[in-house]
Amino acid sequence: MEEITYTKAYQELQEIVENIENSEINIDELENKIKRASELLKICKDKLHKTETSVLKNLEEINNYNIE
Amino acid sequence: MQPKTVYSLQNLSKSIANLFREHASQTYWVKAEILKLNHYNQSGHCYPDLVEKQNNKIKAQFRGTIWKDNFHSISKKFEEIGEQLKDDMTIVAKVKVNYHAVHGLSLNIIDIDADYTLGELARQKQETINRLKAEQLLELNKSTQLALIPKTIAIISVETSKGYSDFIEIIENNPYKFKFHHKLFPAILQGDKAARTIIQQLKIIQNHKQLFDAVCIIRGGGGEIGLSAYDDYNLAKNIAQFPIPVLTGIGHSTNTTITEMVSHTNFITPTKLGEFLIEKFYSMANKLDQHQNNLAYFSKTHINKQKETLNSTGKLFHARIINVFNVHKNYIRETTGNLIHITTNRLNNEKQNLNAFSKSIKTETSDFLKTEHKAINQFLKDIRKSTEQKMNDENQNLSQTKTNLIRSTKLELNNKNNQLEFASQKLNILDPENILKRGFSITKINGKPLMNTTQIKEGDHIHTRIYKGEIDSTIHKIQSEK
Repeated sequence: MEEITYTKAYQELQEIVENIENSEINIDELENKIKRASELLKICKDKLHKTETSVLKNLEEINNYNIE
Repeated sequence: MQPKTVYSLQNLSKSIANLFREHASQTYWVKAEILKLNHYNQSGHCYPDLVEKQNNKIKAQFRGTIWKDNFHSISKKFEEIGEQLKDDMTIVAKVKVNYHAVHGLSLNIIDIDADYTLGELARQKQETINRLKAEQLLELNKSTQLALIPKTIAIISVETSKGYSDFIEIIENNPYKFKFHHKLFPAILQGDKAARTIIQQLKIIQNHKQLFDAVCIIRGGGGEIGLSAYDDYNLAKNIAQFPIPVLTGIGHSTNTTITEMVSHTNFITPTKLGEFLIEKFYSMANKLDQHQNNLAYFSKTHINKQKETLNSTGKLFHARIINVFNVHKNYIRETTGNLIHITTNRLNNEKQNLNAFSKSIKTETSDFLKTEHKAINQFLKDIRKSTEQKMNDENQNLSQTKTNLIRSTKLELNNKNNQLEFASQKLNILDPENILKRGFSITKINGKPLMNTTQIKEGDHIHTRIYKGEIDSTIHKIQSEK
């Protein structure tokens, strides 16, 4: 899966939906756009529902919280 | 000289003590700042350092005492206003000046006006708010953008606090199975040390700010005591200037603290803060579903529309094609008719022309043939005649030539005979026999005719033939021709 932030993925998804709503996409592009949109949907849904091991690892590494 | 009066130290202190008892035995209300509270847990007494400052310089200082029982009742009063006695607090205290022979001068605090402290705190709080406002810090953290889904969260709390466990329960066990990443940065959440430890943890989080979507300061179940830490200027400033949103769920019922005021968003309890995060995810999940539906619906519509357009275009095209087709069909039919008509006419004309031509050719040909026939017959006659003439002529020529040939041959034969006769006579004359007959001889040396004396030398044998016989002789003497 490509590295893309949720915000970017969601923005791109919104754009595609808007374009399709406004019929700004012709039939030739439609298939690719739908494909891209479902990729983005998956990315977004994964971000909602999956933990990212890389983030957990990074959090694990912050251990220098010395109070006083 | 009068002898010196010498008092013992104890005497002096006793008289000073008496002096204070006489002149300063009543109680006074005194305003002072507690520089350091110095509360001893074991004894339960406090020995606060009391000062008065002007421009940050100490202008007056007293050692204070708050005996265990007094401290207990004062603390109770403070608890009622959600406060506690602490360092750096300005108080109005009911004091008695006390002199002790060993411990010296001190102020014994009997009571503290909690209302004054409350008012003082409110004043300080307002001052802090005004200062933050002037420094444009009050709204600063609110201007940071909270991520669409605040997924990775730094939590400043205490592991054992109820607020923390409530919060974790909500985000970990949400019914929609949303997943969060969170890390606890432990801090002391109330009292003197709260502001400092929270600031420390904020600094650690700031070092990893790219990792986090939000900071949640969570406290709960700790009661109302020690909340004034959250009115601390430095803490407020740190939160305001924090690069990512700081969300607060501090959990109390009285006035909003400054920390909560400067935070990005404040929630009255940790639970509400947790629910807010879930709500953010939930609304996003909803939007995604909606987008998914829209995508399906609109692409279907879009494709149907295209299909319809294509269909109607097809129909229109079909009608037009048929129309064009018919026009062309008619044209071709007409043209074909015309062509057949023209061709038939033309063919008839040509046929007539050909017939006429053929007739004239027949006539012309037979005339021509007749003429040619006559000419050929004449020619044949001429040839026969001239050939006969020629043959007659040749016959005459031939017989003349024959006669001539016979005559000339006879003549020639005679001539040849004569010539032969003459040659025969000549030959007779030249025959060596006849020559030898006439007395000549032939001498040869070594088989070769001897013609010259140079051919021989004395003593050589020579062979001579005469008419009748032959002689071999040896040369005796040679006489060369003169």
